[in-house]
Amino acid sequence: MEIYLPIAEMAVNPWLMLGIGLIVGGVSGLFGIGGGFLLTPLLILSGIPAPIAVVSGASVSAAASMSSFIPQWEKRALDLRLGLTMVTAGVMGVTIGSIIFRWLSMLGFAELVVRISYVLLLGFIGSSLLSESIKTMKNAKNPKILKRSKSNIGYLLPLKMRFPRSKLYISILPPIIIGFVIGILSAIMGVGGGFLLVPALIYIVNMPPSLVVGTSIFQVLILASTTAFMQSTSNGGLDVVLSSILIIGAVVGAQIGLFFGRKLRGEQLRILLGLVIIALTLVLALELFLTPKDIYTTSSAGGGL
Amino acid sequence: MKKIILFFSFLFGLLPQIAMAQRTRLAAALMDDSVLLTSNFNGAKLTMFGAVQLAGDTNTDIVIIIRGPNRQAWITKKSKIMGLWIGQKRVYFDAAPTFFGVASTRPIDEIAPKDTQSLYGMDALSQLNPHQNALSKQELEDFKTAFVNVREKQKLYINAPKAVQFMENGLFRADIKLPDLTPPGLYTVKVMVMKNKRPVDTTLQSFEVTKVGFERFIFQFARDNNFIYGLFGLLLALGAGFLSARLFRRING
Repeated sequence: MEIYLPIAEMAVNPWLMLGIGLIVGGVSGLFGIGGGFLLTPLLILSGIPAPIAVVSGASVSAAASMSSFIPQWEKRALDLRLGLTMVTAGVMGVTIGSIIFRWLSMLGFAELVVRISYVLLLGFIGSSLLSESIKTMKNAKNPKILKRSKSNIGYLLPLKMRFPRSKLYISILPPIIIGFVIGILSAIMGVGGGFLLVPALIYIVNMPPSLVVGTSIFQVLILASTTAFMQSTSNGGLDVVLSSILIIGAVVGAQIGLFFGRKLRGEQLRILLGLVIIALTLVLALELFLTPKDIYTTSSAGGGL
Repeated sequence: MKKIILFFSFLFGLLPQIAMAQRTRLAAALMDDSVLLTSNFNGAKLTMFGAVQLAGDTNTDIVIIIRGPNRQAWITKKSKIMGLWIGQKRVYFDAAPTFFGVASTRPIDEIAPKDTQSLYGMDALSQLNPHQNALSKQELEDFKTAFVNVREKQKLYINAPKAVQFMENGLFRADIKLPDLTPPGLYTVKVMVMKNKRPVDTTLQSFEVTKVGFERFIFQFARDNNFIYGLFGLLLALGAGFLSARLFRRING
């Protein structure tokens, strides 16, 4: 059975799309990230034109993060004040990032910068997540040995502010800078930035681990919604038939992911996330070195996209 | 003088008779004059019937050219820079057929030489209209050939050398497959009778590929009210997320 997509002007297998949505939603619910970084490449691999894949990515991230956000919100498992601070900076970062992106594409460096920074950044985050959580796990038997090293930069910088929910009295500069940088990166690299946010909240902001997922998902929700709306109105690439199928898979997947997320310990979750990120890094790095299967790519069949 | 008289007698007397006797007549019709893109559209079959009144020799071929609407297009070639696959070069086409099918009784290259094919628009390569660029002629040819190859893989450019079949008494039938990617628009179908590597008669037909019902509504709404459409898409996403969270909480108790 195939279903025809009115905007993409092609037929797809709805079960395949439902499966992709389920996987991406599961990853999103499990780790508290948007999952756009997985969805967009998966859609392009299944033959969906890139502009449609990018908008669908943002739209599905919005749905999945909404689905994981509600339970976190009801449990008050997020720091709204810290989240709002970061979101404000993040939206500004997205704006600046789009300008930088346009400038890079004008110079013809966009592809180069995006792909190399993707590999370096993901590789760094994935491997440090992995090595750090393995160390924690080993040390768990022997609690006398020091806990994980945390940055105390928030206590040293000026402009301190109280974040009662996180029981933190830190400078607002680190959250603002993190939000801003993630906004820039998400505009340039076309991703929600949840996978960057989670480690940043843990290691730089020193947020209590129980609030990390909720706060990160809040930021992803706002950024993904903004991106989805702006992109679908500006380039008209939103295919509601496609995104409906993906969303159904994603919201179910997100609930399943959340369920399993509650059963796993923090270190275990971080090891898993580290593995997912490292796998993605390897795929992206291989793409840089291996001869691509299709050297030529063309515009979509109906033209325009 | 004798020659001139001979010429005129030939022209006014003999020629029309000879021409009448040897005239090849062609008639053809499509089974359907529209293809509907519905929610379960997964390609379609286009069937055409026709008849040629053959005169004299029987060494006649039929070539059918189906051409979709012209649209802008581009092709990108990835390239290696410092050992990494990060470079790319793009060529834009001001106009390229979205669909181009050639169906014939024999391989097209046996029916007509390449230059005749280009002259009568019987090959996809001659139909691409690249935007002004700084590429060398050879490089541009490579890009055009690559574009045709990609479209052939997508079954949007088709070469079907056996798709036209003669039945009897000059009747013929042609079946051409349109893929699921078939873009909407007005399609023209040119039927040519080829004799001695030249077209001797031709007819022109057309059919329309259109979105209908729900698909048409969504497409037009998205184009005409993109702000509301974007908002609707976002609310749909957020609403679905909200509903699922509620639903699963009830299930989990």
